[in-house]
Amino acid sequence: MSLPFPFKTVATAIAFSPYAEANLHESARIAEMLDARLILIHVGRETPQKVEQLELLVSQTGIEKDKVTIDFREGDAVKGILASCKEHKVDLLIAGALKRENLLKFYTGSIARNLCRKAECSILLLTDRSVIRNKCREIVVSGDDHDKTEGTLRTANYFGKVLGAEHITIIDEINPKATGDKADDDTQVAETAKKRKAFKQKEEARLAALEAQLKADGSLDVDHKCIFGKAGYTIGHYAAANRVDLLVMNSPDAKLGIMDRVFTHDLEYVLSDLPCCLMIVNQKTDTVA
Amino acid sequence: MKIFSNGLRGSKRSWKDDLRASISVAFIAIPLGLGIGLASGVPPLAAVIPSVIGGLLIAWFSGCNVAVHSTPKMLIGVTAAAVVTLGGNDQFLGYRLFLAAVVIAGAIQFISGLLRLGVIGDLIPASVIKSLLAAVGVIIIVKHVPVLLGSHLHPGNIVQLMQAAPALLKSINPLIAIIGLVSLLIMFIHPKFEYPIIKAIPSAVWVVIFSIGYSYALGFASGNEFSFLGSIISVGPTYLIELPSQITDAIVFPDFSRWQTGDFWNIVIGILVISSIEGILSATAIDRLDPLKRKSNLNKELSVIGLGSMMSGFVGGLPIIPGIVPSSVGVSHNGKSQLMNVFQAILILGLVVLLSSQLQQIPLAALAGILIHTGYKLLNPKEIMNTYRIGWDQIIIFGSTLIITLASDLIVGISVGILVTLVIHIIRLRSIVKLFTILFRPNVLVYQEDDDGEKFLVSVKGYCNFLNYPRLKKSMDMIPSDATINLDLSLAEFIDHTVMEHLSEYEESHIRRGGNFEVIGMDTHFSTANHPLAMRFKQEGTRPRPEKLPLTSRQKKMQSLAQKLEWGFDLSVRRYVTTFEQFHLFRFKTVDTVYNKLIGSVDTNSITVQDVDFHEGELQFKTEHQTTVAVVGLNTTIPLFTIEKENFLDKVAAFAGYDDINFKNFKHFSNTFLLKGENESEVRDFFTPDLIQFLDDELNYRLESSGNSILIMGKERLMSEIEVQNLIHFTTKLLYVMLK
Repeated sequence: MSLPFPFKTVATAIAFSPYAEANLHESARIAEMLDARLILIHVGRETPQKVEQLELLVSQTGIEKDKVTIDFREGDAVKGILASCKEHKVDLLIAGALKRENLLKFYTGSIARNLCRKAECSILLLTDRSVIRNKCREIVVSGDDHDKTEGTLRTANYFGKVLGAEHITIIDEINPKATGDKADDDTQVAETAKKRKAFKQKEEARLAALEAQLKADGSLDVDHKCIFGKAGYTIGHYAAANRVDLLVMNSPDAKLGIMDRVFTHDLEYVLSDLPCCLMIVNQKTDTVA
Repeated sequence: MKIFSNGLRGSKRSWKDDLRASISVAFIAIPLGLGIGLASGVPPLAAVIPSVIGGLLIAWFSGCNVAVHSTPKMLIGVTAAAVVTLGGNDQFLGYRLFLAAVVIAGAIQFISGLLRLGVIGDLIPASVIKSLLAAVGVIIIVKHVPVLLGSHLHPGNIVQLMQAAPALLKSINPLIAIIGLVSLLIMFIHPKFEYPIIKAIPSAVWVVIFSIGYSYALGFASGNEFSFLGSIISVGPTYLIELPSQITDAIVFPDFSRWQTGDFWNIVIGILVISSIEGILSATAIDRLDPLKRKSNLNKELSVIGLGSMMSGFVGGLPIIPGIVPSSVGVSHNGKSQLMNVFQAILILGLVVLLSSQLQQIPLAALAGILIHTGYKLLNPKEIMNTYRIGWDQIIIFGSTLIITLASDLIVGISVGILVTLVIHIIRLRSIVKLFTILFRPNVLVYQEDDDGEKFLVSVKGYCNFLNYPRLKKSMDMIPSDATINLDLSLAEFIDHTVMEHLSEYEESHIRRGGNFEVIGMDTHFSTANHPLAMRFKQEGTRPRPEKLPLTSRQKKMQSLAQKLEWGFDLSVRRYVTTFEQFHLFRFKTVDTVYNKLIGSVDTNSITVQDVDFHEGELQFKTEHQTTVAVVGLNTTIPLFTIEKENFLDKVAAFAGYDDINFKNFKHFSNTFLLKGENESEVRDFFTPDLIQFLDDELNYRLESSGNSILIMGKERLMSEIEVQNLIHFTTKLLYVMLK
């Protein structure tokens, strides 16, 4: 089975700062790798000088000029970028982000993280640009028991191949509560261990099936691992502990609001303390790999 | 590991041992109970009732395996104050009102056990607990010095004792002081005696035997007068313990009439908190004594002692906890199951009924001697010195808790102690927000490293203090007790003293149960003091010089490994090391520091095993890593090659242009390993069937030859001492096979 082309249009926000420039270079590179169109969204008033400056910046990247569109938006940054993405049918939005933010920012939300919460397209948060420039070796994908997982996995595999990655690990987070989390005395420890083993075997069978499917499509080296802990949190910790280059996750089922940050869960854990580059795969029927 | 059945189920095999042990336990439990009752300002038998109820009714459901129940010592001050607060001048009414508080506290404790709130024992900072114990020790000592000396003065606290000192000296009754001081002496020197007969009988029993003999000889019961150094000294029944003439009179029912007052509920909270903390503390400590290495169910025990306290309170007894003193005596006399608890209760009941007239003869001063010794043990001056060595921060916590506890009460003391600890953490973290976030964020990752073996990696990230330790403990508890736990703290930025202490205890008990436990990634944390349990933290941008830090237990183990192998161990930190540049595995990596270096040799080939800190990328994109590698310096030249398991995590891009070299005759080897070399025919010649066979069996590392050196590297994390041993073993063997 051949892989359809998942990311036809790539977008990124652009401004005038060294940071944003680096971001532009990386985005252009990714767009080239994917052979995709690149939409540059600038939040601010459109002036001839700005257009000139931006065109100069674009010419420095070496991407074909007719593949690039510059879109000016006024008003709120997040809303502007999201509206532009919708208009241009963007498949992948690229944003730069700091690894860690202070708590106030976390609750009020930075632009990059707010985009993650609200975007309807897939999004790539770059914390470590050298991943693209150097080599992205290790990719971790969340292997939740969810309909979206298969598509996410295939997208990660596809994207990993484009980046020249070597290895994918599918991480299944097993909630300790699902397997019984009582370990007060020897009997309970033994019981819990037994239950865990059974649960793990079941999950591993599911993951093996996913892996087999992926291999049939022609995949990178795939491995899987079951880890125990709070969903959304442990995968980030695993990525940090194992020096992973790219973490790929399903998009949230509902748009995340402020209450999700107060009662942190799932994706919010990763967003609050990014372990590495993060890709959130948002599946639209026509962009699934 | 064979799991011995818990509680009573395993006791069929051990009933003889349990019966023998219970005799010693009963003999020690009676004087101890009478003393605690006396100190608490309630009828002395009220503190013996918990031992009886505990053994007869509670032992059958206990969550502990070898615990013998008694009453909490830490409650002495609370009880004495409560009797006065509730009853005013009427001590008996105060006692009955207090019993009602015991019943209600027991009910709440029962429910909290069902709700699995046993973690409360871990939620108090270690120095606060030590301070509380010391405070109780001071309270006991201050109250009983006058009794010991036969004075009738009753100074309430340490300040009053100082003020009353001159009057106290004048009011000493020499005949009583002799009993008191001899009893105290017996308590202190007994452990130093080696004679089997003296050793076999516990010190408190010697005190009782001596003092009863003394009081008979001098006719205390009927009253007597002696001239001593020219003055007349009288002894009489006022110096003796007061027990009811009928044993049934010891049963007193609670009075619930004050339940709607605030004082009453303050006391309920006091009883609940203190007896839960002490109960869990001693249950955990008793587990470390258990010869059969079983694990107690703390939540079950919390419920059970709650139930027991309710029953005890209903018949006039103090609350129940698993008692550390009777339990240790029982274990040291070969007791193995809860049956020991049952037997000792029956014995106590029998002894109290049969020997009631003899027990009446125990002088108060003898009990004061036992109590002062107990107080001294609680105060534990050695532990105070130790706390001082752990760091100034711990001494502040300890001191403030102690002073506040003595000035007000234990509950206020605990609260202040926790508050001071938090303030110190905030100062250290330079952020109040970080402290707030650790309460609600998970910070522990657990996974099995290898699919077949029992090897678990537990990683802790960010801040780790007494507030989120229960989360870490729970994760570790779920790992089978014979498994290997490698606790990686390299991502943890702050680890407080309480966690360090808990971890060292956890290590001890996990290893006792046949598992393996090692902490890795802590060698480059700063610490506040030169002590293995001092708090550890990282500081942005700076690294400590490990040679100036206290050795971590991993370093100590590596040191003794070096001694065993007659290798060198170099702790110094080397920067700008260029040895690694020749290896492709380090091509994209910059080595920052090399430390913990084990240096040895095989024939004339040198082997060094070292921890390496390196980074990839620069500036904002810099990621720091740590690993342990072995480097072999060869005295010959071998072909260039790399070999690693296929499917190994982060494969190297090294030797990209070369194909996997396969050997027709070694299918398994060829399928399992990826072997690449610059000159294929040289590599083929070099890989003899012996070498292939050896690597096929034992290679779990990545191996690279650069001609005259070999690099051997495992995962990108530090190795535990056992893994280092395996690495050295592998390397030595490799050299033998390779250079044969």
